[in-house]
Amino acid sequence: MVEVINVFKYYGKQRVLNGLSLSISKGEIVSVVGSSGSGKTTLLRILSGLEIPESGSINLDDVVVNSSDIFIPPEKRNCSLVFQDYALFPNMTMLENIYFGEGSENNKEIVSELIQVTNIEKILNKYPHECSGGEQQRVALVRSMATQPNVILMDEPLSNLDFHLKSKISLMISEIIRRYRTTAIIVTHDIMDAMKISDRIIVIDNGIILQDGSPKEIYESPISKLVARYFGETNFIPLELFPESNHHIVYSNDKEPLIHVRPNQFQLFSQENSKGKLIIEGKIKSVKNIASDLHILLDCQDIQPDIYLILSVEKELKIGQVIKVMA
Amino acid sequence: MNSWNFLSILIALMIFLPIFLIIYNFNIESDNWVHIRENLLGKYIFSTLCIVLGVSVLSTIIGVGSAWYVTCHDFRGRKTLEWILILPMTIPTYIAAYAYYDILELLNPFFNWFRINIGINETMMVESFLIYLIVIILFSFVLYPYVYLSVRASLLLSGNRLIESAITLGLPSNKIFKKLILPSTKPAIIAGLSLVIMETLNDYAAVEYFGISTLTIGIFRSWFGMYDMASALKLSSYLILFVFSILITEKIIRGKERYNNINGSQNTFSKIPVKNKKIFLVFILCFTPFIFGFLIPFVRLLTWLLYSSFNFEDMNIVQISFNTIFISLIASLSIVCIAFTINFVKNYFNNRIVRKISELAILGYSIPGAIIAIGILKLNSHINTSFNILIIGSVFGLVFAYGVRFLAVAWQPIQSSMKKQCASINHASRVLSASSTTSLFKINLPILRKPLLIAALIVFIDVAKELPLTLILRPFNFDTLATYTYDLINQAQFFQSSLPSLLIIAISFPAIYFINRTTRNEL
Repeated sequence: MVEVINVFKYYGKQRVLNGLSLSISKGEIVSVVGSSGSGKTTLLRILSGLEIPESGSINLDDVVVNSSDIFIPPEKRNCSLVFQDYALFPNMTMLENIYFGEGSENNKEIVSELIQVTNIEKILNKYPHECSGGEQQRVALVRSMATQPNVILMDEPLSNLDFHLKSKISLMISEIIRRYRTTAIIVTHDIMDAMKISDRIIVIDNGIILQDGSPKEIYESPISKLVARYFGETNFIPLELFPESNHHIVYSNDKEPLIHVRPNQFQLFSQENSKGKLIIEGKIKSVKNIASDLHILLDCQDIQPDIYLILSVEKELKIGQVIKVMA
Repeated sequence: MNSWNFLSILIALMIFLPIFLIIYNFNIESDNWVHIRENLLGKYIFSTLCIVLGVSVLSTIIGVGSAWYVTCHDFRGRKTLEWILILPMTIPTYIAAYAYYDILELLNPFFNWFRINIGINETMMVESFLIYLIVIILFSFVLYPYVYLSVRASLLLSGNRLIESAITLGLPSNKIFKKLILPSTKPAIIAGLSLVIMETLNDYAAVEYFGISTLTIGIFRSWFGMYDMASALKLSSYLILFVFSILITEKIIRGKERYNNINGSQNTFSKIPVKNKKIFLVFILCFTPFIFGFLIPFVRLLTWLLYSSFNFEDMNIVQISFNTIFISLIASLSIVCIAFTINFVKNYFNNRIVRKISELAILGYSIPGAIIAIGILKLNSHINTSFNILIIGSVFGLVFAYGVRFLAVAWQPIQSSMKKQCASINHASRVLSASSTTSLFKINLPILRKPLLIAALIVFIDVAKELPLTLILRPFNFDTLATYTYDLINQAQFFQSSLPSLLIIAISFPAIYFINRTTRNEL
């Protein structure tokens, strides 16, 4: 179990963590999502012991590792970290890297299993510079798991990988962590990566938690415009225009209630399915065919800015044409 | 605080102690001080400022100009020039001064005419102006490689993309230089220039030889001539003040403007072609610093060697060469070990006190050797009074003094390589619960082999060339090639001095070649 209680951290005058508190149960996989400078990597470094917070306390498995008068150094926390740049030792082979951690020699069975699962048998005698990014990533993961840590921390584990490798490695990470029931905290700026791997997502900004919930909850019911935007383009329509709407509501900075509709939630209006739906009419300002979808910018007189929608239709639509859509 | 941190703080404080003693003893009373302050101080400050200013301007012009042409232009012979332009680094300023010792004699007919036709006072004024000019030119031709190397490194890192974008925008070569290269390499110029200034301030033998009274000369005269420690300390404080103001200015300028590090591979470095009619001019421009900074002194020394008649047993040159290599080796190994250990502790444990105190410990390089020697003499008198032990006059004392002076020389390459190559893997090692000793010997040491070797070589060269510190603190009857050259010149044995001078160059030559090749490949 990981407990972070009221942690503050400053870099010079800049406040990076602002009284942050969170609790993570044993075996849970949690992703911490935020933009750059939000404090997510600092949180990870504080948990691993590489940074010391100004105040607050941290408990790992009911042991206080950080408080006003206690600081347990990283090497004594049994909490391993997978670095964004993998941090493999360039002067050692992959196998030597894997067995570098304290106590990893005693976990040979688990290590063999991990090597098999991650399919890195063929590169064990190679040096890091002889291997691809994906291979290095897998070795870094195995090296961290080889010490049988209580908590595994991962800093942007997928950011250096290409699209195809990302899906494969994210599934593998998730499988390995679950197999050994390790508590995992993953830091990423990409919420889609977080959704693939984790049981729970914590969105942070300016050193405070904006929202904490399951991936589904955060996707469907974001607490603010900022959280909603982490999932890509979205539309915010004043609630006063459609007071009857049953869509999720978020609040703007000046507390105005807004209906939150994602572009792919729209479809062309049809009378029979329109009951209880939000119906909008507007003139097509631009239309672009991307793959099998039409990406449309709709100019609706009462709603600012224009509505962005993605329709999966075969019908041909033109600029200037007036259409009615529902969501 | 663990034992690693404690040990690092202790070593760093010991190294800073001599500098601290100079600053601390600034106010000691001295009978001679009133005389020095009223009659000599102004002259010392004026001479120092003139030389520093002149050398700064000229070495910047030579260093930046040559770096711009050989790094960013394409012409025949460019690669050869790129390498030979650093060769003046092998020649200490005092040896270059000796090699040009009779330059004023060439002007004798002119001075005679001037004395007869214009007047004695005017002749003296012109003569002293020419001496300053010669020293400035001499120092600039020997010291410009510091600016050249720094600017070349900066251009190799970021010049590529700058030039490519400027060429595509249709800018001519002179505009690229003025509007892009000069502003973007300003931090590199300042960094190189501050080294040039430190080396100029450190010089004792060359300015003494030409009869210019700088602050460093004043310190020597106070100590050697009058045995007046208090005046030497006061003059040292003035020089330290001057050095610190340069360091602060450098920090402010570099702090505001960082390297414009746009990624660009040197393999695809787009060079500006030099037009046929300009090739000769560019080649001559870049070749001149090499001729005056290396070729002429080197050839002169070789010629003297042919005129001199050596008797190896009499001259004891083998023993002196052995002394030089021995002391340089011990000093470079000890200094690199200390720099490596403190840097590791700083990087690994990230302790704030170690970070701050290590910054004080590396101040020594910016302080002339003569001042450090005075600080160590002061420390020696304290230790002698308290424990009845003498540290000066021993190899240990000399190595300690080199440590104070040259720790920063080893520090820079080790620190930057450790930051670049080991920061993240040291963290990885910690979270994998490896001990600090394992991390030090199994990770940092093998990974940093090359930077450690480079650091050791640079310190080795500096110690082999070092004169003022060695002159004051050497053990009795212990000569290095540098002090031996100095003694021979003092006895006007120019021909005989050529062998030790050439041996200093010979010791530095392979090391500089290796350092240049390695650092160039890594940029």
